[in-house]
Amino acid sequence: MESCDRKNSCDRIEGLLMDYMDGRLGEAQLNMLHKHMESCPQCREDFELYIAIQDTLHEDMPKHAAPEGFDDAVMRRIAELPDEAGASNAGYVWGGAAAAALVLAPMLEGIPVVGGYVERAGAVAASIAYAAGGTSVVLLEMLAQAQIVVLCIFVCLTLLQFAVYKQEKAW
Amino acid sequence: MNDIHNLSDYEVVRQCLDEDKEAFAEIVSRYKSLVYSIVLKMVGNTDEANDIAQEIFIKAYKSLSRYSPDYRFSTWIMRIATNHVIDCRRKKRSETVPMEDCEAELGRTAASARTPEQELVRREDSQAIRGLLCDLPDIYKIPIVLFHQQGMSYQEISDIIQEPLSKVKNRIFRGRRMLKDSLIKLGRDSGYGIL
Ligand SMILES: [Zn+2]
Repeated sequence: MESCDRKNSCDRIEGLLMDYMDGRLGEAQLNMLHKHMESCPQCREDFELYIAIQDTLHEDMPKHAAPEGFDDAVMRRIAELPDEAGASNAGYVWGGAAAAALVLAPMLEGIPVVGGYVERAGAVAASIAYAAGGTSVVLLEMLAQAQIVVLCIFVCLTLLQFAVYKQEKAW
Repeated sequence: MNDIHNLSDYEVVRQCLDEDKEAFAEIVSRYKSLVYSIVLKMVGNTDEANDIAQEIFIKAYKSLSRYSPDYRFSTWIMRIATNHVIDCRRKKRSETVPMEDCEAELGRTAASARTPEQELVRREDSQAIRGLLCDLPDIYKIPIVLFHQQGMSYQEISDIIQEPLSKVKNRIFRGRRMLKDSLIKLGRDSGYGIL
């Protein structure tokens, strides 16, 4: 029973040691920590080990200067990148995809059933085409991608509808 | 003409996106020591750190259009850096990783900050601790390095690794405990008393 209490209080002390290393231990808690360690060699040893670990980590803290010629090496590799890999292109690519969707959407609009969805898709495409010219965010890219998938589904549905229509006529 | 050195990070990014590749040099110059330091602490080998740090900037350049000013640029590039280091280490794990390199290189760079007496007393323990840090799994090592060696807050780390604060705290807690337990085990196995 006593050892169980001891274990519980040692567990709590470990939490205090962590707070201590985080630099957010109040005076009362600090006293509690010291008081416990006076009578608990185990926690005292842990404390010393944690401090040694912290000290070593902090000694390695200073920033290391990047090696000589680092900037040039990076810029050379960037200059060698194909243009499609460039920073500025992603927006235009997705902008183009969205613009294509914008053109296609009204064409499909006349067709019943799917028309309602296409109308909405067209509105989304318009906003993407507008936004993609400026900042292109991941979300916009995803929307544009979803756009293409949605369009493909519409094309399939339209073909299916057409096939069914012909079938009915044949009857 | 606006002097590029006076522009904010986001303004420089905008300039890069406006077809001005050269503006990225300003980004490299602002963040190279941050990125290189963190990579060196993670991989422990200067040549490898140099390669990986370069690749991180190239990755950042390629995905520059995805940068959102909602985050500080340092947070964003650190996120790319930590992910890239994890990938590289995962790939490399199949090969043999000479851990002595890791301890030796970091020890050498840290030694300059100490007096010769302190150096003598601490060398063995510190060396052991560095070795154990190298061996720590990345999910614990990254938050520990960011907190204890980069002086970042839990919130910043949470933004970088994109995990909730509670997880950051828990990983730092567990990482420290793993270091401490390994240190005890090492002392026991080697027969030389740690501390
Ligand atoms: Zn105790």
